[in-house]
Amino acid sequence: MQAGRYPAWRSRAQAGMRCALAALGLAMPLLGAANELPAGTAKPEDQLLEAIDALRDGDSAAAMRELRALVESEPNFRLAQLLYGEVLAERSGAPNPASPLMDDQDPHVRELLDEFHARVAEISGGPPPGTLPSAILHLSPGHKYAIVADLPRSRVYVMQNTGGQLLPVRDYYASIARNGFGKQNSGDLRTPVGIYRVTGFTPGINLPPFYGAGAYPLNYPNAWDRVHGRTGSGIWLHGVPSTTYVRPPRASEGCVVLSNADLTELKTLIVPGMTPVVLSDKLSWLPPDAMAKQRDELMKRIETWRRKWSSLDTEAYLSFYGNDFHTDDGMNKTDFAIYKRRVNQGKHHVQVQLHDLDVFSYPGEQNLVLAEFTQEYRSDNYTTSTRKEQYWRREADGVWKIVREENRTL
Amino acid sequence: MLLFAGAAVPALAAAPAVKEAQALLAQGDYNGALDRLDRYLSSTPQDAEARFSRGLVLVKLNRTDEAVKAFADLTRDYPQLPEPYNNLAVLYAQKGDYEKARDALEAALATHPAYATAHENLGDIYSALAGAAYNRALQLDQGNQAVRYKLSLINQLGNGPGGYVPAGTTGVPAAPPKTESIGTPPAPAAPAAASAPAPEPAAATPESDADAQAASDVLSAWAKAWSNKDADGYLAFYAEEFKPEGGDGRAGWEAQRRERLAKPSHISVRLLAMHTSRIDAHRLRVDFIQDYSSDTVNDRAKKTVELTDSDGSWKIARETAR
Repeated sequence: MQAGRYPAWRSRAQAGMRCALAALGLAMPLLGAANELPAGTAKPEDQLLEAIDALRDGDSAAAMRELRALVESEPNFRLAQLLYGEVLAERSGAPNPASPLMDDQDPHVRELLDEFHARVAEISGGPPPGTLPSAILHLSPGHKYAIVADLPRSRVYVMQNTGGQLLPVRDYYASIARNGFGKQNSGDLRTPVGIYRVTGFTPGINLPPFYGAGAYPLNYPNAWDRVHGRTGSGIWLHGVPSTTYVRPPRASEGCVVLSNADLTELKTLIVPGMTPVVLSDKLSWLPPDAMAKQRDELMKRIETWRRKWSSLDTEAYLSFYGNDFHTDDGMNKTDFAIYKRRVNQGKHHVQVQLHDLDVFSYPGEQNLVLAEFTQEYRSDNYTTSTRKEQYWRREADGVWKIVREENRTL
Repeated sequence: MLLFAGAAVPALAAAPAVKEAQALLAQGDYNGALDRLDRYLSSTPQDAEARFSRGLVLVKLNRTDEAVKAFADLTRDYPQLPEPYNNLAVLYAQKGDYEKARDALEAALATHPAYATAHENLGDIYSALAGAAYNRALQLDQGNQAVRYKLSLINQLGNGPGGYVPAGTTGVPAAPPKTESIGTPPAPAAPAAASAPAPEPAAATPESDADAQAASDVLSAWAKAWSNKDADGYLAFYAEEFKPEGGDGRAGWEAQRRERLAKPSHISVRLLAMHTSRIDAHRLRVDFIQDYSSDTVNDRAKKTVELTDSDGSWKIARETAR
């Protein structure tokens, strides 16, 4: 390559890209026998990174071979076409006045460069080996997979859950909303930050071609969004029209957009109605040990709350609720206390059992935790089974208190 | 500039009949040369130099398909000779098939890595392929703004000192054939044409989903700004070229619109039955029913809006009520 040809890219150069990928466990078929995922062939992004690696090694012939194979299989992968064009122009030996990179004020060129940087940054700034997203404190074994999006970094990770042990098994480039993230209002062209779940799947055949291979709607706005008066709807994970391989990093109206191949791969992993989706404004990856203390503290707290309720120790039970607690139907802490005292008064025994517990550190918030569980409630005169979303906040005195609860029937 | 190879084998190998034919070729007597070669080849069908010269004559006669076959047969029978690959590549490139041209040149270089003509031609092919790749890189969701790259690609091919330059160091140099056959831009390059949508449909074409989505996105946002009484936002949807109906002039119209957005205490604008069609590469026509209500007025009107692609986003260039 001519010196200085790719100054912006070279400044991000990281040696040993392939090694880095291998260390992340992301470049290869990922797991041994425990992995239920198909091994899969070389993914387009891996091919692209191989080519970039070759360019950095000064091997433009190898880069050209790699990119040629890539654009032949994915002709609509525009970033690959751009790099392929650059390598061909370089190899032609002729001056290259037509390079789009000469015009990096062109918004479409900028978008491709943004995508380039997002993909390359994953190599140097991806999750360190042996770490897990700190947003997931505990995931019930019922969820085989969870989806975690690092919104500012245009990246979506699939976490595999094997008996409570998490492992990142897939990661994808993803496009988010034009104005970034932190959705507040309908039409603000932002992607929400929060914990959601996939509510369904609509195959592409039932959708406009714009959505590609299909769409997974999310339950935005969730209980916490409603606490904050956030509006809007129709936040989906979806694919792309057949005319393109992916969209630029900031392109949607709020949705998270994947390539059709990646979206299709998710079909084998996502369970509509269940699979959690973490949309994070600032995803951090920590060693599992670093999260154990907070997780254990919260799980103990939840268990104590359950025991107090089950033993009809109403005042102790109520002490778990924060002063600004509200129910979804408008009761404040005082109303709630009166109500619970009255209800519990007439009961001789109550039995509450919790299972399928998930605990998330809530993205975009300080000291907020979402615990979700299935609650089996049985008393003298009433039996019910619901899925509960319970938001816990660490108060100034360091004690975790419940600030919001919402039940949905199963 | 793509270079034809003029001779396949060193001169010492050429038979007298072939030398005669090459002389006729040099004088411009293509039919005479072809006749001479055909007669010779009927008795000596495997003579590589004769077959190669015959390919060149067919090029001069503009019998391109036969020339392609002649050189392709040679590459099959004499894969060690680089020149037939080279000439095959030039013919593929003329047809705009740069991928095949590249493959042929790479085959020539596989046996003769120092073959200068093939290197030079391959450079030109890479430039052409680069242009096609750039085209695809910049292909947009809506419309196609990559045309300028295609043009520069064509210019690059046409700008070189035109004509076939015989590359063989020995043998009878082929007289330059009509330079136009190479100098003329090949009809839109095949690789580019394959992915770049035609930029100028003549009239409004039927609804495409991408267009409909784009129109719906922008007009929904426009209606929302209007409903929110956000005059700055609302006016931002109008293109610079927008001329209000009625001749108030842009400034007068803007002032009036600001006033009308400010006056009611609430406004609701809903767009129904939207239909989008494409006028040309940069314009969409959108018909819809506009359901307007405020504290004082309820109004339902059929509207037509022309959207223009300005700086990558759609803006309203015309707005008419019907």
